[in-house]
Amino acid sequence: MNTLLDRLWLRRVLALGSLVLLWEAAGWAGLLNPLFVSPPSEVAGVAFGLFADGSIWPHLQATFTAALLGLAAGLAIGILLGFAAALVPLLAALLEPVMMLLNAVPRVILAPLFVIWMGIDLGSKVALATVLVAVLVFFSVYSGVKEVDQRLVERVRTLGGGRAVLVREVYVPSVVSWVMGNLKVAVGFAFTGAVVGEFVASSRGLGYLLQFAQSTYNASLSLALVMLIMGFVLLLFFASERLEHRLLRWRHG
Amino acid sequence: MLRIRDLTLGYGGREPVLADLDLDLGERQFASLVGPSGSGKTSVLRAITGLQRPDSGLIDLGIPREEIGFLFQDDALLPWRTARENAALGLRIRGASKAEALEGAEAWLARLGLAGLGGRYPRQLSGGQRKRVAIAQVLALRPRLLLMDEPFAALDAIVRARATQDLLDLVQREGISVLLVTHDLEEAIAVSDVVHVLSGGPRARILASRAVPIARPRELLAVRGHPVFAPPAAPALARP
Repeated sequence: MNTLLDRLWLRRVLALGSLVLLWEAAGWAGLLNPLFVSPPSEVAGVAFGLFADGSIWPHLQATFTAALLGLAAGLAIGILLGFAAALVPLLAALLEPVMMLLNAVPRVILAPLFVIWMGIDLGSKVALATVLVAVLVFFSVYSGVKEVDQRLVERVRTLGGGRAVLVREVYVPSVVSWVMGNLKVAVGFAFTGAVVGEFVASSRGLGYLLQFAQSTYNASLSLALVMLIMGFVLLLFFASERLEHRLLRWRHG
Repeated sequence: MLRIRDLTLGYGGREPVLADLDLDLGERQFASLVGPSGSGKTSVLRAITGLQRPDSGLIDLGIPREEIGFLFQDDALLPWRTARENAALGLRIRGASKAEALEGAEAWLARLGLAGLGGRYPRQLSGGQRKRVAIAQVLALRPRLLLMDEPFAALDAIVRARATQDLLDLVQREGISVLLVTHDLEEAIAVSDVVHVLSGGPRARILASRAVPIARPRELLAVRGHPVFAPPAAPALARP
């Protein structure tokens, strides 16, 4: 199994390496206009420069703070509302249409509104990331509780368990597995919220840098930032996967 | 211990699946309710435990509901709990401390041949082992009445025979009353003191109730040789 995984990794690295080499070669051969697509070596140079002169750190800090705060708040709100709606039918009747509406529209359209309400500082970015994550988590939790295995519910009831025991022993673990299954998507959403929020109006952050690169027609910087964001999100995906394996040992053990 | 009178059970306004059932179960008695699929056997057990509300009739429990154990058709173990924690679940719910419950659970797992497997999750156990964990979970509560809904139906024949024998030994030794529902008449005769045979639904009813004249304790393989299992004698062929 390990050998197979290693081979899979090797194949992925080889495929990515080949793509980068082709891209580089096309750049050197003059097939790509550097005004639109810079070769990977130049993109890497720009990224390295950002770290070498330290100019990237305040932007990274701003984006990560907004994304992680939004992720935490979105998880908390989504879990709380999802649980409450699943257990209290009246609340479900009130919340479901609102959440359905928020789910149906691209929620990033709220970004300008948050800027008007909260200004261009951290608050508006956290708010956008929160809304993006909370709606996703709400539906995970709501479905998780609604679709919980009824055989487990009956088993606990015949053993004498009441509502509190059911919540602790059946609903919470079911919901944790649903939420963990969506954690990677939530991480992606949190970064989307933070970066789009910064893109709309801000004075710091990777989204602000992207907006700056676009307005100055700097393709190298744009590509370097895209690569950086992808790299960081992949790192967080990996961390989420480790957390999922740890919390859901019963599924992977 | 258990007295059922005129019990009628249905599913929301449709014609009742089972009607006017009368059934008595005495102390330390092992009774079986045998019937085809759709005759409402499982519903009777669900009504006794309070999981299903009867359309009408009386269920008179001579014991508190906490003294009933229900062994489901499927093992329905919590997948996120280990075998030991699953077996201890009932004890924890009834107020035992974590240490007490786990100790009690471990003892029952050992009695049921699962010593050393308490740390495994349900998905790491075989079907027969999971079933034993479910049995340990129920028996750890020391029930006086055990309701069983074809608990071994999903197991292969050899594992099923062994599990049934072990459970039979246990209930005989512990003096537990049992109401088993099954569609297997031979199994019912082999394990029971009384067998009630149900007609098919809807409006299923008891066609016959018979006492089984086989002494206890019983060995399942040995009882198959008892005359009650003998096929009816072939009519003598008249010579032309």
